[in-house]
Amino acid sequence: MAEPDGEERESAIASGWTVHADPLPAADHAPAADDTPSEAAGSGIDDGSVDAADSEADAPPAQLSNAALVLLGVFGGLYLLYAWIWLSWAQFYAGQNASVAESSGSLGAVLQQIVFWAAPLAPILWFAAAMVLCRGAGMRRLTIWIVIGAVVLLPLPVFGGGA
Amino acid sequence: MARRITVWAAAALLTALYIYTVIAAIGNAVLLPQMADSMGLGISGAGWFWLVFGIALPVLVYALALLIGKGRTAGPRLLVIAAGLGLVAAVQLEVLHLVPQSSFFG
Repeated sequence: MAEPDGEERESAIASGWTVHADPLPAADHAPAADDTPSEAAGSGIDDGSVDAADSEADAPPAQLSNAALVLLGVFGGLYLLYAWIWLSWAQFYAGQNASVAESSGSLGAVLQQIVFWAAPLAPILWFAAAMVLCRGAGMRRLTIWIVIGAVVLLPLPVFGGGA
Repeated sequence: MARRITVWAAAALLTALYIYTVIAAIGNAVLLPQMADSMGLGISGAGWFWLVFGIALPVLVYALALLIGKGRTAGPRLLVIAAGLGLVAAVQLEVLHLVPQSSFFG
């Protein structure tokens, strides 16, 4: 009796973790896991170098790269997930979007289609832009921009049910 | 030289897409009230909000993208403008499919 119970629990936990741990906990844990190290690293670095960061002080690259790796890994995954979700929604609505596009003339239809298909690219472009623009500006600014992007580009259709 | 032309072409295309979204939004804001009139209805407050929002958003995002990209080289500037267009497109999709059409009339 005791052994099957134990086995059931183990397998349930194991399957629960392996199956569900992919998209959602990653998204949930992302801010919680990242706020502390990145803020800690940020504040620790701010004391020393952000005032001087404008000149060149990249003194603690080792500390920074740990937080940076975690941040970029977790949020990079989240952004890829966003892009995937947006792509699936763009495909799901492709027919409806095409009829909307058709209603705006021949040139308008082409432009409208391009705009519609730009949505799945948005997370990737935002991530790349944040990386490029904040290259020399320190982790805090990169973190702020990436968090803003994660909020602004949140694929709201996900919460609207399967309509 | 070829690089300059490519950069300008990309910038022109992106700007054209922004302009298109604004013109399309203005078209909506002009035509939808006429449609509502012909059905004997008016545009609701929420409807006007979304119509104006559709015009204002691309303008705001484009201005912001130019502001952020100011003083950068061509590549990053284009990247920011493109990311802004993606944002506009994503929000437009959300408004198009999540705001019920019937809520525009009232």
